[in-house]
Amino acid sequence: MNFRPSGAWDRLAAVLLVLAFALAGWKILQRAPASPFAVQSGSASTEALKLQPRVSLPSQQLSPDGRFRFDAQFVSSSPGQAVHAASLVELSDGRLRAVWFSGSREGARDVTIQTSVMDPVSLRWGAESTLFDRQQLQQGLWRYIKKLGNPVIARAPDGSLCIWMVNVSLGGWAGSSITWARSVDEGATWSAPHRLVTSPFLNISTLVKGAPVSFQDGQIGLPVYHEFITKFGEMVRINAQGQVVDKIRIPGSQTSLQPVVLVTGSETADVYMRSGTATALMASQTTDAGKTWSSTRASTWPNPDSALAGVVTQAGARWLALNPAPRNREVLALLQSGPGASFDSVTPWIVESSATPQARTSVQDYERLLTQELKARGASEDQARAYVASARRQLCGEQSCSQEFSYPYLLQSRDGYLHLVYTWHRTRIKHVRLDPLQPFQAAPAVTSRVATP
Amino acid sequence: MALLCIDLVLCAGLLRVLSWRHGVTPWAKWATAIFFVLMWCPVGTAHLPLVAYVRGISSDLSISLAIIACMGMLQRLSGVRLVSDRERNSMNLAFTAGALLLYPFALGWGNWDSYRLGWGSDGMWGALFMLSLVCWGRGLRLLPMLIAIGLLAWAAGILESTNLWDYLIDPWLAGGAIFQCFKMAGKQLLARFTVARSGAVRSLP
Repeated sequence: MNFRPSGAWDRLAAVLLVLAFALAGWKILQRAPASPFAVQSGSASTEALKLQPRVSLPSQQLSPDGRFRFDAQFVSSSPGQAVHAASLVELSDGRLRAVWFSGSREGARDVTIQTSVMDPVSLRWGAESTLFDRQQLQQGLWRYIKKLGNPVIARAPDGSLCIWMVNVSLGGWAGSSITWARSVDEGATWSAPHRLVTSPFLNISTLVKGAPVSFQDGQIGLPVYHEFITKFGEMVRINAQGQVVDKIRIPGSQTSLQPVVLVTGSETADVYMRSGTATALMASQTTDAGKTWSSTRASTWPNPDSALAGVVTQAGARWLALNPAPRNREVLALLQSGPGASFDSVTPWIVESSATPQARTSVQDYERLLTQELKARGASEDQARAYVASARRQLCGEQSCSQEFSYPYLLQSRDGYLHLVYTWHRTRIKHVRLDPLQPFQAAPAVTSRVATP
Repeated sequence: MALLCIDLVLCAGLLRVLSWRHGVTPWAKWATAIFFVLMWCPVGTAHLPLVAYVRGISSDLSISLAIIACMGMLQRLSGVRLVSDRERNSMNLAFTAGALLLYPFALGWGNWDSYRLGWGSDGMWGALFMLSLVCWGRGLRLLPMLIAIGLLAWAAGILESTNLWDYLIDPWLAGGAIFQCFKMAGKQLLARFTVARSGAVRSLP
């Protein structure tokens, strides 16, 4: 073998070159053009919502400002664990499946992806079980994995369930890659994990948090973000086989992360992002089904460098769940706007709030508050102590603690209810179910308490 | 396939280190062969082969790097020089240019993402075609062959990635090419300096 241009080797090289370019060119020509967003129809869903009986359950309560009612219960059930980043999907029989990560602390090697299923009639969450652990991923991916996090579960256009999660082999979260798996039996069993290759630099620093969107050709648009050296938001297009076919960067999104996409039409969508510099909720739009995005701009809502979630209901209303306070995660609220309207001047639906969101809570008060709610929702003395210890470990200093209601995820079920899951003091995952069509009281009434049956 | 590529590149590196001073001794050959096999031994609670732990850090390597590593090993084992300095220098220049085009933009410098071209763009296909033609016309064969094999591997989808860039270049190859370019430039500067200095000495009265 010699690379001098002469003889039989030369002719063979020429043939190889022509063949390679011909095959690669053919593959490029086979590439399907980008398709419009798949949009759910509105009228049928409004009907469905009206048909469902509105059952008042013991867990129903008033919001902290007394303006609306919702049901709330805890999802996770492992005392003493650090839990975070829940997401939610509706199963074919109407039950909900939640996934989140849980371990001794965020980023620890014992972190696993946990799951639990909720019965829609009793609103009771079943016992949690482990969906993926580090060892499973290592064996499936044939590579060393140090830690995992941020699971996002969703239904693919072909009807199967997909889960995407972040995992790291080296360094911190900025060294993350995305792994995915598929289930064809509503999450009872899962395929071997696969890696999404989204970056040329050791395939690091692509993370996922937001819910995916669907395209009419069966592809999935997964909102992701990059954290290494600089931050920015992107949308990865994934084909039916789970492979990446394109990736579109959101212009001007440097310092923004965790995009959340709200599809408003077959060609139109808004994206909202967490501000990495804790300035404001960042926003961008597309009018060509995500082929291009407008330059990122700051909205009027502050963002304390915290994750958000969003959903467009079957009736076309847009909802966001976020922390609306500028400096901490002590208030969790929902924002609602009609089709085509802005979120800028809407009144927030406060789901959970610290009594003193501007000031930290003393350790004693913090322990008392948490213990009170945990016990009211059925935790034993020992369980409450373990939950509180986990929260203290993560959110308290020597003297005081910051309350945290963060990392929301929104979903509308087929019966029309809106479901919100979020991290409650980093020690439990909480689920809130509310009727999005209920009247929103103009003036505050009473403070939040778990309703007596 | 990805694990095999990593193992081959590691073996090529080991053989290079072992033959640094005394050439390729039988001991160096055996040590490399044993190392190749050892990398497949399962270790740890996950019973992963050693090479899978390396993969966690190195990520998948490009087809180009695997071929260059194999050629390097073959060259050492056979003692036959396979690649001329001209071929090697042009290859290093091309990979350096590719790295400068790819990594800064892909890692967030500005709003344009060069990595996106790798998911099947006419522009990238055309640029590679032109580069191959120019190299071929200048009598260079190594770079067009690396591009051809990279394209074939991409068309067949033999790696985890669906992006053509990942078949052609990786950060380890890019780092090596940039280092070789600096070394080449340093040598040329030193040669010029030496010539200029000797000329100045001769012209002294």
